[in-house]
Amino acid sequence: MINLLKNEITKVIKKKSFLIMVIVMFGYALLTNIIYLTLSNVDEVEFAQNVASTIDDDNLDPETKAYNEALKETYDLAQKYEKSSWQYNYVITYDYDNLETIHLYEASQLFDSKIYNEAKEKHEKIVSLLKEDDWKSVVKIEMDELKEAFEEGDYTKEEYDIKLECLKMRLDQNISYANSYQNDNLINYEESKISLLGYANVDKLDAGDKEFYQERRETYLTSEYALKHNLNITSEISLQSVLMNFFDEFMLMIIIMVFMIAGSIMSNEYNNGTIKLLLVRPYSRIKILLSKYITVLICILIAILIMVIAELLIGGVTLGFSSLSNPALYYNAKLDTLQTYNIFAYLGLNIIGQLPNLIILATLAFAISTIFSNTALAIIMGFVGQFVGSLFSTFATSDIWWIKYIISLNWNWTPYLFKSTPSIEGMSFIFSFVICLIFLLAMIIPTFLIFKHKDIVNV
Amino acid sequence: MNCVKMVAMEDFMSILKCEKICKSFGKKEVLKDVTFEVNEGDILGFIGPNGAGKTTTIKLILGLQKITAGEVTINGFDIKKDFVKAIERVGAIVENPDLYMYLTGRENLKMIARLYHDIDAKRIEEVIAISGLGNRIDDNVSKYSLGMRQRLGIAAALLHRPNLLILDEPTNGLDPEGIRELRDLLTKLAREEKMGILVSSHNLSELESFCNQICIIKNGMIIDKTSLIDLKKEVSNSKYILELDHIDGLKDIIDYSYDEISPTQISINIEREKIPELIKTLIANDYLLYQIVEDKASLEDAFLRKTGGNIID
Repeated sequence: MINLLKNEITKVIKKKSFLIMVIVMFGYALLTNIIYLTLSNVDEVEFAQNVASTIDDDNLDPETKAYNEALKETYDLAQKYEKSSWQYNYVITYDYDNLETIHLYEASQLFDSKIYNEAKEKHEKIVSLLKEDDWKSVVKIEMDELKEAFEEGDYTKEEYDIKLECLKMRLDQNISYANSYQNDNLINYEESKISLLGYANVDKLDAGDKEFYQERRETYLTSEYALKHNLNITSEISLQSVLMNFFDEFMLMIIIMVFMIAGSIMSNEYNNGTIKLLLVRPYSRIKILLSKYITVLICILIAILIMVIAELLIGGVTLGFSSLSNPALYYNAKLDTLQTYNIFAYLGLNIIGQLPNLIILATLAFAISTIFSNTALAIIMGFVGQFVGSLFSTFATSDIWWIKYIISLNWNWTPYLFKSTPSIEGMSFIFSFVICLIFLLAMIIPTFLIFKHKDIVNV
Repeated sequence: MNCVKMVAMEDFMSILKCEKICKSFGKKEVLKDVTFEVNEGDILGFIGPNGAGKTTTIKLILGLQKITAGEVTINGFDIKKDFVKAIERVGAIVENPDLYMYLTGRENLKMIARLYHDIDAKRIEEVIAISGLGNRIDDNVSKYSLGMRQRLGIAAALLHRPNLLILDEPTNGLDPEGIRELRDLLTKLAREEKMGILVSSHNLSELESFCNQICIIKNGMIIDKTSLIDLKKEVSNSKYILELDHIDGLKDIIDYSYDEISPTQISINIEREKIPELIKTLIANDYLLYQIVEDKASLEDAFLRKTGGNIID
């Protein structure tokens, strides 16, 4: 039996199509990473585009004109500094508000108002601090202003506390306004924490609101963790983040490879007549078919492994290996906690979670290949299975009572492995396991019975 | 029926026994009561026109197709009930020498070797020598000619030292030299290793030189089982070709009717036993006799007479 298995694996690996597929996988990984690398170099053009779109036109109403002028002045001021500097980022995100106020009030000729004067005063102070490159003093100005606003009743106590906490964090952890991941973390943290204040009674939320709530909890918990551990999680382009989304990126390649092998392993023997060579050996047909099936299962692992290696090598070279030391964060919506994993443990759990999906589709292709000895049909049916399956999982709602018996809602075990919620309420690991097993046996048993009694006719 | 019982007593030397095997595809009966056996040292020529059921019979023997009725026993094991034991000492080529085209000849042999427990590297070298492929053994099979594949296929079938060798149309693609080598190889295996060999062909004259038994199948039924000598006897009223220095006045001294082929050759209808007498007569009348040969077409004619009008339906 071991020797049969050895022969089957040799046959698969020595085929030219296998080599070509490996090259395609590496090529695909290279392409994906180059696209990421190119995307990460694209400058933020949005602001400049806004400015460019403002047209000088005397027919505009005064208010719009004021907005346009505020934008222009902000842009001109920001342009004095490097794009990576804190000055640039501060001007376009914070000082713009001051300039807007100034221009609006000027347009309305309200030069005496308190708000106008305050804004003007603040703007002037900031301009001088920008020149002196002193962002810490800017933080202090923001603090003073925050306090005033709170005393005037603009903020609740909770909002004030959060905003103050964040400003203090800037000083304590030395997070300038410059565009950096820590700056992003801080902004995300502040925004999500404030928005969470709006949820008083979580248990009474309906399904849609609960989803929003969970999203905010996730942002809050991850940004809090990232801030604390100085982690770059907002930037999407790192080897670690690509590995975290491994199956989103590379499932297609793995599926193609698996279907190619599972769909041809039996039909090739028929079509080349070698099935006769194989069946006149001192092994029962069951053993011969079993060795082929086990080979298919092994090839699923091989396909995943090749893809992981391809991404590790190519992603490492293009995006750098350093991000691998960062922990992978997983928000568990069921327990409302943040779970941290080593990136390889995280990837490993994802691979195990996706295995039932791959095994069931590979078995489908294998069964068709064995019964109809038609490679093309086997591969196409595999893809049809995947497509229909993903359709069901996309539109699945718990309103339909039978939906949880659909195989594609049960063949991804990742949520169970992360101890999180399944896609439909009322499902459990045992439930999914049994459904998967039933589908699997429903394909395997007829395949073996048919093959056992099959007449090998002329080819 | 008596015949079958007698054979059963000589069980010790019978390697392959087919007893009344039938095969139907749906309602269509393609084999009907096929009975024959192959003993140690036998080379059985399994002859029939295309579509007569030769390959189907071989597939039933090898368990590639299910037997509708009847029994196949190899080395005492029933192919249906004891497949693994029955097939263990069988080497076979069915239809074509099917090999993995993208592997080299040697890799193909190694894969087969792995499936039996007692084949070492030395044995692989031995069969490579038998195949006569030499250095080409390390080329991909896709680069081989049909003849070379046939040679490799036969070598592969011999790899595990079978005592029953089943070759379906092994002469396909072989040149005359290859056919001669195959004949020498098979006769040697039958004589020295007491192997039973079943060789199928649609061409009697190719098998004539190396079979000692002939089994003729037509429309899924065995129509004649005989030794080659008997078959020859049966057609012994056939024609012989004589080559002489001249043929003038021949009519006056011989009683047999003959046709003139050329000024020095005649085709004569004569019984085999009467030939020595004829030669004496010719010499006594000062004719110079260069050669006397059996007209090959006559054996072929006999075969065609037996099998002629096979209806493929």
